[in-house]
Amino acid sequence: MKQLLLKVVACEIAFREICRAAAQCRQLIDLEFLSQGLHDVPCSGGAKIQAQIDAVPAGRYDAILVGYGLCGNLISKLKARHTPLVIPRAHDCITFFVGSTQRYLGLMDRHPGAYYYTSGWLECAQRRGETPGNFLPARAGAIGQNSATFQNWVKKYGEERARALVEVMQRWTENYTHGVWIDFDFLKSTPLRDQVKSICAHQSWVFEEIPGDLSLLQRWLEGDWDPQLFLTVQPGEEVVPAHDGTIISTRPIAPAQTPCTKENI
Amino acid sequence: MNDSELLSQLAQAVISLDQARVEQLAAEALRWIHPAQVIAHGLSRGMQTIGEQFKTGEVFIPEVMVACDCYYAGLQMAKPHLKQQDKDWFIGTMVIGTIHGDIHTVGKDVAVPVFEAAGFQVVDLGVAVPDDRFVQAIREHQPQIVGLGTYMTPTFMHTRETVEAIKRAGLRDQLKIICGGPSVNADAARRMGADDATDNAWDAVEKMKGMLAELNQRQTP
Repeated sequence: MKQLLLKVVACEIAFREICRAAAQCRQLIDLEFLSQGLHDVPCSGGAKIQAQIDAVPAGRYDAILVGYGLCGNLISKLKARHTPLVIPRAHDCITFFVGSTQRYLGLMDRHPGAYYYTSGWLECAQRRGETPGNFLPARAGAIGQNSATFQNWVKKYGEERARALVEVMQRWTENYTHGVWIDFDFLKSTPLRDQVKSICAHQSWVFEEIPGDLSLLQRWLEGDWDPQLFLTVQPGEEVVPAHDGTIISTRPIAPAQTPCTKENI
Repeated sequence: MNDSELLSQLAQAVISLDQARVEQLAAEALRWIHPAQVIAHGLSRGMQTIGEQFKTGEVFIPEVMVACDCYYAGLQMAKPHLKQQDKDWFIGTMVIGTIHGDIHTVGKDVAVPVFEAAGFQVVDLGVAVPDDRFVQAIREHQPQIVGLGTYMTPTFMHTRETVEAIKRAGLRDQLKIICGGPSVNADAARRMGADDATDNAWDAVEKMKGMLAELNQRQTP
């Protein structure tokens, strides 16, 4: 069987897991990771992923593996120009770490208020220079108190109201009850599990751990692309959200594209 | 300061996210001006401008949330002054809640004051609302509109089950159902049995006004 040459364009959230699976895979793989947080700004975030896809030389790779879930429609309208894209059918990256959408949905049913932690979720914050042990990375790095956004708020509303604005950004965690560490053997030597325990203690969340499952990522990297698990986007097609059990689908590339006019942080 | 200037300043205090100033101006306005006017031409006008600024990208969700806090601070002061007949101010009733399986509250917390400021009487059922709770609230409050908040990609799919529960209870034909959240899609919402969907509270107001007009037309012989 021919060895495939594959290009991966993925979110850094899955850096360790994809690297682990790629190291054990029989195919020849080039890896490229983009900063975590693009889903916070889906229009321009999607454009960044598209730019990386478009920078891949035509005819060189058998496929471009896009390491993103639907992630709030981040990957909607991603286009295959000359090389097929292969994308896991996933609502978001948690599916990558727990092995299947079915398992993820089961976990969500059990604890709708659970916040899932993986190595990437903790380490991408550290790569940005944020304090280790923060309960979540700043949203796309946008609201730290040294950020341009915060400084603009200070200029517009004064420091007190700017601080109030930062505080309201944390309200979305109000109904969370559990912090769940997705565990892999290869992370045993890291301090990450203890960091999650300490975050849970700080947030008054129940700490839980569940075994991780790399099987979906392994099949993706091995070229074992069962259409029920992976969407293949042929050249001339683009991704669309399916809003059904298949999660994502394709259509011919639409001629008119709406430019990004504004994005929430 | 005349009434019009006072109401303009109240609206401006909401836009400036200055809750202390909102409270001060609302107290002053309520001494002289009808509470329904204070809500409609002061507080709600401020929220309307915030909505326009949100649409053009001048402000983002955090500012909208703080503006909502300011709006509510004024509303809480105005409400005790409202008499029963003042409730005519409402253009319609809606029941809203985050769909089952979804515990996120921020989107709904932004939408509710926007809907109230636009004249909807809103019954907020909270987060992760079971389908039978929606049914019970519809029977109790007889809303024209049900709002389903879905803030995660998978939970939008729960729309079908909630709509089915409303259908089974024989209540579907008397109301309209709109989905809201960052990942919703109007065509998909319709395929799941709802009437519309939007990711923007101010767009939702326009859509809901259209829904009210359609329901009213249906009732006119």
